[in-house]
Amino acid sequence: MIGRVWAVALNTFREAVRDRILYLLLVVGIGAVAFSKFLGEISVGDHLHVIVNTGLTAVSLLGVMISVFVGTGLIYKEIDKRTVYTILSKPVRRGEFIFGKYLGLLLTIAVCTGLLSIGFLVYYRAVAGVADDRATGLLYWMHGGRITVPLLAALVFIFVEICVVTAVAVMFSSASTPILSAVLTSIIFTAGRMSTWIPEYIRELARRGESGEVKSFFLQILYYITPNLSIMDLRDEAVNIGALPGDLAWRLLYAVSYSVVVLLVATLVFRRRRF
Amino acid sequence: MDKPAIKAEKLRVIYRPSIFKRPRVGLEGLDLEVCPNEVFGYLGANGAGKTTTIKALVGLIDANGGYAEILGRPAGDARSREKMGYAPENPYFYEYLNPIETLDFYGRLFGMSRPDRLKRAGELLERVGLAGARDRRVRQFSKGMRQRMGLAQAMINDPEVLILDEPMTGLDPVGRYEIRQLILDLKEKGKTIFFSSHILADVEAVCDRAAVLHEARLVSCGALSELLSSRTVGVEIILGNVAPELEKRLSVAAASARREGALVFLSAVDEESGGKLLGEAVNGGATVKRYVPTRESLEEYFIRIRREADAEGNGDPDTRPEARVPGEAPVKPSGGDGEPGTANPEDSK
Repeated sequence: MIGRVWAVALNTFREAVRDRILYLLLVVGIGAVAFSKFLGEISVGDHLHVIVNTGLTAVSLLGVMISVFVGTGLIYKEIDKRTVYTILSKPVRRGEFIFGKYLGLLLTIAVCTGLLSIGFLVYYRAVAGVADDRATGLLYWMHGGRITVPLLAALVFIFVEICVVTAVAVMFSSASTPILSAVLTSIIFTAGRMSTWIPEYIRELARRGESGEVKSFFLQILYYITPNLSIMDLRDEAVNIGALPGDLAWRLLYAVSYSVVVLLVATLVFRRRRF
Repeated sequence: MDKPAIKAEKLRVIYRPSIFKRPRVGLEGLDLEVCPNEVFGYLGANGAGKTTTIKALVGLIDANGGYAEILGRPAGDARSREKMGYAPENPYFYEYLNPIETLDFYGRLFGMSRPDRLKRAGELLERVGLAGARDRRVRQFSKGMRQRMGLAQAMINDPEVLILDEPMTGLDPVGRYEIRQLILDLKEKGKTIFFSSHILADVEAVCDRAAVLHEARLVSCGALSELLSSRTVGVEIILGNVAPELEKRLSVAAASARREGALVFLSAVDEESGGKLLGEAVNGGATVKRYVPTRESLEEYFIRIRREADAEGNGDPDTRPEARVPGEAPVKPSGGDGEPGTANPEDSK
């Protein structure tokens, strides 16, 4: 089983790295990191904070964009181009195919966001700051911000968040067209990011005494079915070099569990499909 | 008879394109058995249900009723595909891979080791005539080359059963000849080959048995020799020493008559009238040079079977009875070129 999943994953990775859109997105990501210095310079306050914030956002954005643009067409393309015929007629179970495609795309995203993260960290550590006139040699270039544990943790959790979003994208791709899948994945992503605000909004509705029972009901459903992506956002800790939350392992477990459940749903949907 | 390599019992497939469209019958009550080491031809016009049958056998679609198995395992079970190879009609591959990489990928799906995969890939490319294109990307392949590639990937696991959907489509005469030879070679090696086609000459050249499908139903199945020898469509007689008076009499009785030098060529519409002509010729003192009953060709057989099926009331799509899905509105037999599938992305565009 693992061999077949890995075969599909590796093939997906090979396919994705030859997709031009990937390089376009990578260029956009690099551009955003480079742009962070400019934003830092024109902003009020500590410009390094702005650079960290912008850099992390760029890495996150790159991962989410690959997830949405490539992930939502991942299964659909296989069906549309009929490459699925020669794969599913081999001893490959549909669940193995779904998990293989998912892991292949994650591998692609890991490489892309990994490259951008390294680029960002080098940029941040080396040239993001303001040169000290007294520094010479290598020190002249090492005048950026410090690479802290919260900063690295924030980067890791960006990838964890992308794992969840990619699972959602693959699920929609197994049942729908790329455009519809992209729209739905974007909605889930946005709702997931705002997840912690939903209970507050419901309480606010109740406080105002608005007749929003139906509204509250649907908001609660949205709250429970959408992934709570906001708990994977450690940018505040990275920017302010604050202490990391103590429940990071639970957050990781939540993300893995959510992704597995979504992929199982994708498998169930895909098993019912006829080609 | 040995345990069948492929078996279908009352196999039924219904297509539901969408909730707004009426369901259609893709396959109705198919009973079929293919023996081990047999080359089995599956005939039918476009839309008859050939591809539907094949997809149900290889697990690409679930049947709505009945049962099918490959080498004793239920069709759809992943293990039934371990010793099976399938080449779809107009196969598609990952465009950026070359043939070796493509076959390497399919080999991985069977858990083959890397040396085995590469060795097998080289052998197969040689066998299907693509050895010269091993460094080219599949996207540069012609239709015929893709067809050959489809056969190569179907054989990567050295399968016992090969299911080929229109394997000769897109091939030139030389290519068709080579694929026929390949099928015969595989039979020599004890493999079972089930292939659909509407090129009757190909079926006639390689098949032991054949089945004819018409509008989602099996209308005929049997050994080609039985199917075709059961009906004589004419007799050709060549005579020598025919006196002018006898020639006149024979010409009147025969369906056609002509003289070429010392020989007279006669034809009769069936064996009975051929026998009468022969008796009269012999009694009249003629010498019989040749007496050949003409068998029905596969093409004639195929057309006759279709006409007979049509005459039974299934012919005109507007008048033929509609099949019924239990508990649902009448279901129309599917027609047209494509196989309507619920999940066909084309449908949802």
